[in-house]
Amino acid sequence: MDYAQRLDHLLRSAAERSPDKIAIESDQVSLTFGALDAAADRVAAELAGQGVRLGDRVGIHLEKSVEAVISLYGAMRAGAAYVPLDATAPPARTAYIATDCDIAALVSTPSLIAALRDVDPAAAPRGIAVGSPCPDGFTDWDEAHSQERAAPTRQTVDADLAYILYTSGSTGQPKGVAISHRSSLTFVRWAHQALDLTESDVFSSHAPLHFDLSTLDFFGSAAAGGTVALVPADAMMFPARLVEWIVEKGITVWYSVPSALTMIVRYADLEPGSLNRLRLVLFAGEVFPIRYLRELMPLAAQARFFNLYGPTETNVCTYYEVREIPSADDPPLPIGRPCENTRCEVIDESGRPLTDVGAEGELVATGTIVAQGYWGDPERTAERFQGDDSFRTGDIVQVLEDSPVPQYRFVGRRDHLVKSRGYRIELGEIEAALYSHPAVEECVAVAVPDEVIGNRLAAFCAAQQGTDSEDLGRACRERVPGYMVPEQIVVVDALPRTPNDKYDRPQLTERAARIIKERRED
Amino acid sequence: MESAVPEVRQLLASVIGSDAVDSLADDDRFFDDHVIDSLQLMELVDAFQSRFGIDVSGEDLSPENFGSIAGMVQFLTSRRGTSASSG
Repeated sequence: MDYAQRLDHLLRSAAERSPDKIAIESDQVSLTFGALDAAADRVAAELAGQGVRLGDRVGIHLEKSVEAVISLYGAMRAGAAYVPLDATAPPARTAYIATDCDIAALVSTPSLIAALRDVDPAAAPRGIAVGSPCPDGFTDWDEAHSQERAAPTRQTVDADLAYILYTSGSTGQPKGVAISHRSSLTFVRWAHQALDLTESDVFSSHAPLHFDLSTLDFFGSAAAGGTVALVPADAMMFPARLVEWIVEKGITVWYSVPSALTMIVRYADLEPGSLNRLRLVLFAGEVFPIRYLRELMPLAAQARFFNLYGPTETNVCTYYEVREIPSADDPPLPIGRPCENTRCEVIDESGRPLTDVGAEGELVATGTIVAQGYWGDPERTAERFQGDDSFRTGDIVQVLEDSPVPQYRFVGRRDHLVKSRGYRIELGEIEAALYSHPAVEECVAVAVPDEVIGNRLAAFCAAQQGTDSEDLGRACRERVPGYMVPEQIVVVDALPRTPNDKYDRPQLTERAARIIKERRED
Repeated sequence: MESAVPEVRQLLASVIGSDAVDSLADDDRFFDDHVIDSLQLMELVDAFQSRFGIDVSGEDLSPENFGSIAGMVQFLTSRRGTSASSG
């Protein structure tokens, strides 16, 4: 049975099946599927009334909240793609994203709207404002919700865009990965079946909306008819509080980057079995350090553990179930086998498939799981997206097994993209932020591997005399989100070069590793 | 006895940078204003333990003790077995 063509249909079906079941809860509010569905209709009606049409984009610029989730469904129901905008990112970067995808409307707060309008009025043209005073051109949230309203009728197809997720771009500006309903639903269906999600599941929502992990929390729970609970701010920070919350809410499905789980292991002083309600522990975005995974597994002895893999452009394309507690000296966890509804192959530099066990090459994913491309950027889309539905991930993997089902392990990147705290970061975007400082003549950003967070960032700048690294840090913070700001910015006289006259990145990376190590031991 | 505020501010600066610390009041709550993320908090706790030689248990790692500069100062002072004095 094909139960949905669009993500917002998942919510409608759940509301028809079980209108009184709790769909979403935060520490302040909870909403049933019926109430969430009706609220999404009202947002859709308000957006349509403001002129939002099929194929438009609507920015969701709020902290993760019940309002934000209502809004993303409302945007899709109005026929638009939603574009989650990080409420903690610098306004200049957010304004760039909003204008790059030419948003038709925005759901946001008065202070965030004012900050965007200071940068560029086109970044906040109209929409719905949560809180007062309501800015010009916006409708107040409560007013938009003051009466029942039906969503507009739209002639939709499953190839319509559902959302655009912006990730770090190597040319210095973020790039938007455009995901259709069909692509996202390919993932949701896989997860629903392979992970056996049910209506009695309670899903945690840990990842921010602009991070693709959040799509399983919201759309996986809607597909299954389960409940999603938003992790409160204090539990995001304090491991003991997080554990209390997981137990109190009866969370059965946890999905996050590994570092959130290593935090629990390192700081929450737990007895074995403390997390026994957990049925599924899913992680993605970085490699789970074996020694912390060994400590985590006994805490949730009833749970199945899955390592999910896939760049934003492919949702999740491979998975690996950790069936037994790994040995301390095991190699890093594999990324596993292709999802059942997706094909994967490994190719060498000339594009020939590699199938020998032990071979290393670039992973290519094929199928409806693959995104449409990069928003407004046919050139970069053509470089990485091939045929109708293939994506060259840029990730180098090793073939662990070939048949009957292939198995892979991630070994590295082809380019300067790195992962830190689960986020993908183009070192070029950090360098571009540093170059925006007038005193910087040359700079190189490097990533130092770190067991817990994936990579630590540092930068070396050749700059005019008297330039202070604090100033350069400030310049960075105005342009890139906190997780992209190098923790060490070192001002040097000149950058070392290789005999071919390229920057000597390996030497700088080693130097950065020493500096970071010294500082941490300080 | 000297207030522990400067020591705590210096420690925090080693994790999030001194300009970020300068813009914080002692009572500002870290997680309301996104001045620090969860991983930086863990680094802060590691640094706290090694610099001051004080063990931080899971229970100690609470919003009261590590949610603001003032909270950290109070926690540090109580663990040192003295009461905070101003100035």
